[in-house]
Amino acid sequence: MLRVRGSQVVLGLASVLLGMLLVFQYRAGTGLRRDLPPPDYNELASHIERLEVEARVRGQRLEEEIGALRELPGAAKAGADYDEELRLLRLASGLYPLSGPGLEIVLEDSGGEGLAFVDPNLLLVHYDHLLFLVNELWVAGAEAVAVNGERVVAQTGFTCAGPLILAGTKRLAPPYVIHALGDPAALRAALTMPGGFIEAQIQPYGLGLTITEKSDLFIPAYRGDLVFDHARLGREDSHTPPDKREDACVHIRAYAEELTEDGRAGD
Amino acid sequence: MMIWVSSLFGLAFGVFLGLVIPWQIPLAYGKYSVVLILAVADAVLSGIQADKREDFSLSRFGGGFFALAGLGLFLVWFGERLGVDFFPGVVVVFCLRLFWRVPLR
Repeated sequence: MLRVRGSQVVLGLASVLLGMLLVFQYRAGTGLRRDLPPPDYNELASHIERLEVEARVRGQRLEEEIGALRELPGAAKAGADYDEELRLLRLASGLYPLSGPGLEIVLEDSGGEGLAFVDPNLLLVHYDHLLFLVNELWVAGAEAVAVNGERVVAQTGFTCAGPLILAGTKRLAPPYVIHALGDPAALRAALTMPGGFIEAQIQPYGLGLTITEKSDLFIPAYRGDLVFDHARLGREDSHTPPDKREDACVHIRAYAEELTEDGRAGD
Repeated sequence: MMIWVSSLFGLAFGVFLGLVIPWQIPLAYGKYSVVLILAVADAVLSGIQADKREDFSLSRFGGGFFALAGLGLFLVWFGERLGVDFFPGVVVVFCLRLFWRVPLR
């Protein structure tokens, strides 16, 4: 009776396969049902409605709380302080478009043909011309600077890119128009100072330069990226021991005194 | 009678194996696995019937199973490529085969 036939083995094995497949499929089906949201849309809708009402009520309560806090003495002043600080920081970082009196400087390549033995490179405007001019302007007290409509901020670097000059990532082409906000007379005086950058480095090469005082200049806001991927906030005193800073101050003071004494000795 | 015992024992052992093995059919292959399950079930039942008639042959069992399962899987796959869903048709045919194996006398 216990004679094992081939058909029994084959069908037994097929049944094993069937059983395994059934379990795997069952698992997939229950997993699917578990992952899907419940299909009871009415309940979902009422749930959402309930949540919305709750959110509205909570929002109203928060509004009331904010109103009550605003009523507290000193609240308005603190808020105004923060607004003022934010405004100043945005001003400093060039995120506001600005307008006011200032200087317009137009710089162009030298128009004339150079002599045969003159390096033609000397007759072109290079990125360092712009760099130094902008630097002169900052030193002279410019409050905002733009080159060809590109706001110059703390992270702006001028680069030479073959025939072009880059301000940050923006490509500049001649004529280079520098706008600087500030006291026009003071800026002009600083730029045209005898022995200054313009007299020493621009006029001798015949580069086209015109400086005009403007009563109403517009300087656009900085439109580039402000990326701080690597920098983190640091505390000043955690990196420089206080006594070291004191040392530096002493050195500077001593140096300054030395200078004045030398000056007196020279007289 | 013995054929039922071996089949049910195999089925139970398969379920046990499936419970032990922590795997589930990936969602993307759900349709194919359904067709495969139906084909295997059909083959097992047909094998049992053949065994009862005493004319079970391995080549017919295997050949029939692979031909049917292959055709079903191919139809589902090809239907998906064509944008025509053959899956319900394949399932219906396999289910009909299963039902017609139930002896009604």
